[in-house]
Amino acid sequence: MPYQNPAPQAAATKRSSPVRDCSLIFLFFFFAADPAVISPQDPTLVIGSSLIAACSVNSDLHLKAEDLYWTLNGRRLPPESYKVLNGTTLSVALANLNGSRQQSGDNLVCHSRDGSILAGSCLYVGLPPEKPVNITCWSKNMKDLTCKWAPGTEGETYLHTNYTLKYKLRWYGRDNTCQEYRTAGQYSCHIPKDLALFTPYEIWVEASNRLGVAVSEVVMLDILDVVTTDPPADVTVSRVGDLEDQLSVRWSSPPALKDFLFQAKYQIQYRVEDSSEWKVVDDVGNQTSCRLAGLRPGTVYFVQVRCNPFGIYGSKKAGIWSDWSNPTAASTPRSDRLPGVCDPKSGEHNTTLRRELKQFFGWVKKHAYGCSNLSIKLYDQWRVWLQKSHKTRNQVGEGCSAAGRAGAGGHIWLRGYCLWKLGCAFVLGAARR
Amino acid sequence: MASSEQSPAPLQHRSLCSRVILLARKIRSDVASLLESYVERQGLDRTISLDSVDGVPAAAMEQGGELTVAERLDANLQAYRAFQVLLGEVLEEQRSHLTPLDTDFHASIQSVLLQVVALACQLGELLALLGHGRPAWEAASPEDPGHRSLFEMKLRGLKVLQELAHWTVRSVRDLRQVAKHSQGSGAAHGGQAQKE
Repeated sequence: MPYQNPAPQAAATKRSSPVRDCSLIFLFFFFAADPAVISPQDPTLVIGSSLIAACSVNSDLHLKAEDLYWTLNGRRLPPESYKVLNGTTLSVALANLNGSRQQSGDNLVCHSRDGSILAGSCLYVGLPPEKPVNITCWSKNMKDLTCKWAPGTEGETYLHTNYTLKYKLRWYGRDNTCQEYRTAGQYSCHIPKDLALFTPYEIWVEASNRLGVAVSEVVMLDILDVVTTDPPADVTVSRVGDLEDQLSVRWSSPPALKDFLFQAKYQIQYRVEDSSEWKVVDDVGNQTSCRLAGLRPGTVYFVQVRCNPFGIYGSKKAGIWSDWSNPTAASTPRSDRLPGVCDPKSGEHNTTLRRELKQFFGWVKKHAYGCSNLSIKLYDQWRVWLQKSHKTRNQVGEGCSAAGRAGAGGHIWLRGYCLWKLGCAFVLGAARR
Repeated sequence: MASSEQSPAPLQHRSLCSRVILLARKIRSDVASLLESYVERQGLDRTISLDSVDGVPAAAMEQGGELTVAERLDANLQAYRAFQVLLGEVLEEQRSHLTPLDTDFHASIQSVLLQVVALACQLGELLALLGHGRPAWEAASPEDPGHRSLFEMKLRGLKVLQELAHWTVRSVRDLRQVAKHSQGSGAAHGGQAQKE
């Protein structure tokens, strides 16, 4: 169907002037080869606009205006909206148009009586773009810059809207246009190289579509203030001897920024295998190891670490957390002593029990010598002593002090459980005697 | 030109025929899904009349039974070469004008386009193997879409996909004939004038 668009693009019509909109009837011309021509051809309109379109049939076809009908997106438009303009031209009036149903435009089609398509026009109905908002940027390892934004408060324009991120050095330099719009998802752009440090950038986003252009506020930033990095490398999780409530986590600084991370912060999160709920240890500081305490015995834990490379070159900004490292798993040693059960004959752990019981007897000898009236009070005193000594032993790394404190109580309970039972039996037995 | 007695050519071309048939079926299946998403994205109806769209090779044959092997294969080859150009235009129109944001959709068209290129290549190989020589092809430069209205672009894209789907059906049938013929005659090459 080789014909040229006969009419200029229809001007956008405003919701506020429907009367003027209705008066828009376009002149049309066509080549002899075309069965018909619609005008306006492929117009762009604001939501709520009205439009009058005309279909003019080639007189060689011997069709009359009365032989024609209109469809919009495949649905026949009511004859009441038609008007015969002359013997071969039929117009249709469309009022209060909604946003285009598809990105490729609504199909307004002129048919002959038998259903054949004589001509079609795509209507683009939407809104002009709004100012893009919430521009946020980050630089991975100080090498690049990625920015994201939101398309405006309303968002949907129903029209293909182009976004262009522009940037320039604050005091000098020319406008640059970001080129990579697909790296970080919709409404984002990635500048891979040629970025300057120690000089702030001005960054803004321009939105444009068939109905207009809108420019965001300018954001000012220094690359050093928005640095993020790769997740910490070589994360390993291992047991701490036989301690069934603890795991040791170690990692390396992200290699790309290793030499700049004097003030970096790390966070650890861990969860048990059968739960999706992560517990975060956020006071790890800038150490590259930490001990998790207060864990469940014989349980698989997943652990992840992330890094916040703040303070690079003296930056005072808060820094941006890296992604979490891939989960690393390890299990705590199984506890042979089941809660509420204490079998003095069973297993090798009796060696430990015997040692601790011996310790208790030694303590009794020392502190209760000559005291014939052994009682539960004496045993309680021993427990206090035992707790104090365990607290000293169970101190964990300073960076994980919160986790260490949280774990201490539970740990003592676990280690002291069977011994308590045995000691209790002994003391009560002695008291009865 | 090799003969069946002195080379494994019949085996080769039977195997090539099978590959062409498999690829044609794959294209048929992909085009069927592509057609679904095409009509949805363009707001069109599958039953819309496309009589007004010309310039797309039609798969319908008026004298199908009278074609020689060479003519059959040549018609297929010419059609897929034409579709190569047409699909390129459809892809460009979708990217530039109709669905600029829909990269997944563009990737589906691109995928079909690449398969069509491969099919044309295999058909050329088959023709050469049968001793008919590869017909020369100067890729026609894509038409300037500037003169087409957006609605015409939509209709033309639909027509291209529909006819391509029809061609894949025809190709499977044609290639079966070619394979059968070569099996029956021992060798089809050199049989430019053989009628079916």
